[in-house]
Amino acid sequence: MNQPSLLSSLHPATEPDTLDSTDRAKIDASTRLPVLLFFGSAIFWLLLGSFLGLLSAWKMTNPWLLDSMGWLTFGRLRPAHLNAVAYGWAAPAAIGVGLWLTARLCRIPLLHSKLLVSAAIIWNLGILVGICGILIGDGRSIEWLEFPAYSTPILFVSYALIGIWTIIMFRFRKPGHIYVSQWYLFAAFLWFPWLYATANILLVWQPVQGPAQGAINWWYAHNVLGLWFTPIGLASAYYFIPKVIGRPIHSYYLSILGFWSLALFYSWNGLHHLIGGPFPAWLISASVVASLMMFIPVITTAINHHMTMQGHFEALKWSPTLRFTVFGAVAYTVVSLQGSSMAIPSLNTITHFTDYTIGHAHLGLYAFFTMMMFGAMYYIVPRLVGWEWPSASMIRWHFWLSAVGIILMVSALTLGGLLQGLALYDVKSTFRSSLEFATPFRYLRGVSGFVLMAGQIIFAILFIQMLLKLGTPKKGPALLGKPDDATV
Amino acid sequence: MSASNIPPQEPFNESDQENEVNVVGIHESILREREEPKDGYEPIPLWLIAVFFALIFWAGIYLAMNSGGFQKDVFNPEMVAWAGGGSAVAAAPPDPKVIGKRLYTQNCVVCHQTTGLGVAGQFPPLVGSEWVVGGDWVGDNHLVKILLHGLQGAVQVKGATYNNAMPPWQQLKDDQIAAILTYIRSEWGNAASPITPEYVKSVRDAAVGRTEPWSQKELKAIPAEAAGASAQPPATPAAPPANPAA
Repeated sequence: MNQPSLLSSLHPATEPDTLDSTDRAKIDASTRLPVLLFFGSAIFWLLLGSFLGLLSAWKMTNPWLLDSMGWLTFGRLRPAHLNAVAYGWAAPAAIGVGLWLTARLCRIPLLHSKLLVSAAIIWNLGILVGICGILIGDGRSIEWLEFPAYSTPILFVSYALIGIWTIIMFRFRKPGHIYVSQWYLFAAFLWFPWLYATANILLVWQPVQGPAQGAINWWYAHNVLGLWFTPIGLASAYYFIPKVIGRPIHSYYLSILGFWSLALFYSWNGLHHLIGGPFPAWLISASVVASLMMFIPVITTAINHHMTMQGHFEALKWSPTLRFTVFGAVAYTVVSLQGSSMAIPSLNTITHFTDYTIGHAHLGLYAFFTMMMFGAMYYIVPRLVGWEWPSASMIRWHFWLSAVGIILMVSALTLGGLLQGLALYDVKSTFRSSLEFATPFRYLRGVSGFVLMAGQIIFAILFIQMLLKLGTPKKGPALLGKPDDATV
Repeated sequence: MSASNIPPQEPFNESDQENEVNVVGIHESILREREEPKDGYEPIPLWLIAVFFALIFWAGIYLAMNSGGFQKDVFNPEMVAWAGGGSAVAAAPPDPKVIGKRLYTQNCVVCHQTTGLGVAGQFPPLVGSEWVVGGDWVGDNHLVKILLHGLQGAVQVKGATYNNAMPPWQQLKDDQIAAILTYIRSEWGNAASPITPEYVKSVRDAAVGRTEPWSQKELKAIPAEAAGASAQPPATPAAPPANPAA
């Protein structure tokens, strides 16, 4: 390859890196089995995990619900819910989207797809063992790492295969400009094994002593969100927004700033969960500062996405992918700014240990990440199975049930959490009264769970119809409105 | 963006592919796609850079003011201020007796017991002890000295002789020592005056550099200070000190 001129180095897009439709077809066909395996199992765990979450939510208001069965008590259901949706749904969905995007962005068909098929099967085995382990009472009391010690090595083996595959793909990619989505994907695929191995070694196999456990626990739990789900969600947004509307991403320079500031600051964030805990002041303060520094990547990414969408908001009316993706991108901005504000000590003293935090977690994992994954799947699945989505109105229902459900859930938990926190903070009121403030909002949260599940069931039906190619063959994409230019 | 863009169908080289592609059957969704995303090259707005620099400036100041000097044993210097922001109760100075009781429970009960009665023949009692509430020659300065540096050798307490070692507690801060002493002087029927952190500091400063524990003989040679408890009789109906006065 010739040395690039100075100008082309500054503007790498001058290099040709196009794919024609036969290349794309070849790439997509190569990803079919592993990606569909990850998607299918992810949707299964999403339904199961949401059901477990729904049960836990109703137990908060009706503690006698199913209280005679030990394996359905709150202490097991709640971690089972968290782990089923985080490791059963979100991670495989992220891996599936990540595989497809990686192949597209490396501009080569998937190499060694057997490796990935094995990884998918092993991963699901690990989740199954882990969820059963939690339900029979073997769970560990480490938040986000509740899976019993005998299931984590299975997950790690599966993940190691994927990590190796990522490096191989990156190494054999077609030469040319590396698009921003790929930075995030490559980083996330390497960050996760680092996080998971470190946390398991220091908390399970060779546990550190005393408060350091808490520090490592929250370092891990927060980084799973920020260095694993967030980058893959953003990679998806950076790919699908320009792809659907057909214009370049606004600014390469903003992309760089956003990526590196996320990489620099995020890993420090977790300790803001321990404000007021027995930790050296500098550790907490460094985390508070890093959490507020997250404004930089978040604002940068938000501007970049918004400016790309500028003038194309009409497309939200008809493209399912874009609608879910933009909802997720907006939620990313909201949840990140909220997260930064929750690290401010004076606010943290009120919101800590209340439902406010639960609302924040769902805003991140559902309104941002899950919606982003739905959007990506609406784009990817038709290309893998060679079938159009059978019903635009079902997609519309899925979107509105998800959107209304999650907004309802987050509003209820946020408001209830604030009232609960203020009551907890008031020395004159009892602990019981703080719960009474939260109770009506917890009923509302329980209701919102039904709404979300209804949306998920519709999506699962759509997905099964796609896999089995049910219904009459459709000409053209399933659009939500009348576009001037249909390219979804 | 239409089907006319597709190159004529030709067989792929499938030797290294696990999945084959039927070109004729390329799904319409792939054909209608727009090209792969590209980067635009708009510059970063200047105001954004200014905002970020302001943030980083704030970060530096916040860290400098709240890092506790990056010491591993400085915990949350801000916490008291935060708590004070919300409620008057939290802002009130803590009761030294409450803190003293906690510190006593952590450090002293092993020998002197929660009852303050000690163990007969081994650890002297604190209840009604002339060493604690003041006796004919014992003053507050002696008590503080014992806590700071320890006590060794035979001692007479309430007429009984004990021969054991009281360890030094100079690693405790002035206000902690003051809190413990204030607690033991006001608990179990004892009713001597509180000890202030300033007083502990003055005693500590006067004996700076001392490492070995005190002995009864050595302490006796030091007169009780004016602020001492010599004027205060034991408040409990305990037996008067049988110790012959110096």
